[in-house]
Amino acid sequence: MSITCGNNRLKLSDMGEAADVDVTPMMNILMILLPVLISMAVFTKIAMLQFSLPPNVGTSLSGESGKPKLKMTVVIAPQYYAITYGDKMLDSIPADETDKGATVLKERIASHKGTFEISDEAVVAVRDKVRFQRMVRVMDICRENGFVKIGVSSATENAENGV
Amino acid sequence: MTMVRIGKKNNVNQFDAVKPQLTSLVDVLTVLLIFLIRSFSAEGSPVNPVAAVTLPISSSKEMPRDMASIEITPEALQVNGMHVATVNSIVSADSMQIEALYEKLTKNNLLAKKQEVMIQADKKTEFEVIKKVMYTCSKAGASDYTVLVVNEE
Repeated sequence: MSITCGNNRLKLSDMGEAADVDVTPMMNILMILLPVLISMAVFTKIAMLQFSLPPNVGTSLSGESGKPKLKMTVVIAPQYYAITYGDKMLDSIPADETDKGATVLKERIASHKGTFEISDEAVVAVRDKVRFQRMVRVMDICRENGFVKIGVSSATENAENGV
Repeated sequence: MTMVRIGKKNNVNQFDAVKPQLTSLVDVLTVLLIFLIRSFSAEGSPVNPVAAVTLPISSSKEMPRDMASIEITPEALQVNGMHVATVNSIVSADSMQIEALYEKLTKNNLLAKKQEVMIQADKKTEFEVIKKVMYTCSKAGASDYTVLVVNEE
């Protein structure tokens, strides 16, 4: 079988062989580029998370009373998270050293957010025995809910005397 | 006669088999190349995390800046890589202020230019230790704190 192409008569087998591209030079380039790029690749990205001590979070004062405006506080204890506003406890969520409770905490903060006078500042109060990873997780949750200024403080150990 | 023909045919097939089909391999390598070029970062990080510290995972994407660094490994407290105190001594101390850290920060004027301090703490560090470090830093003049994290992506 043959195809007429102008004055040339090509066999199908000839066309098939002509379509074969020589990929050897490309392979050579890839084989050099790949090890170079793998050796320079950044597999873990380092980032930073900013916070301050609570008095530096914000100095907003209430117009009527002249008292500092209340901010949402998330208390991190070894066995629970608590969302407080002033001296009111809005929510308490069971937790442990794993990620348990974090998703619920995120939802609860989002649901309460509309009731806060200051909606971009939050305080994270942490108990002594809480691990650093949980503190960072809660700071992330606050940021994801729009609280851009975060203050970190120590939470009292005795729940009866206030959180 | 038949045997000769078979022999010739086999020779042709062997020649064809030597030629490898590289298309799929090139496809894989091209995808790999695109992935690596995408993850390639031209600007290096100004901060090198301490090897003994396993940083916590966070969703933050903010690039770290160069500033005074305090490292809290599972065993020791360091300032810019220099040993200051052991974690056990910090936990067992009654005082909130870590004297060795305070001296290091004030003598070397580490917080003179910027009142920022970066804390590189192991993800399993208890807040009790971080609290004492933060208290001492605030006494030495720090007002803003930064923690180093690993971006979860």
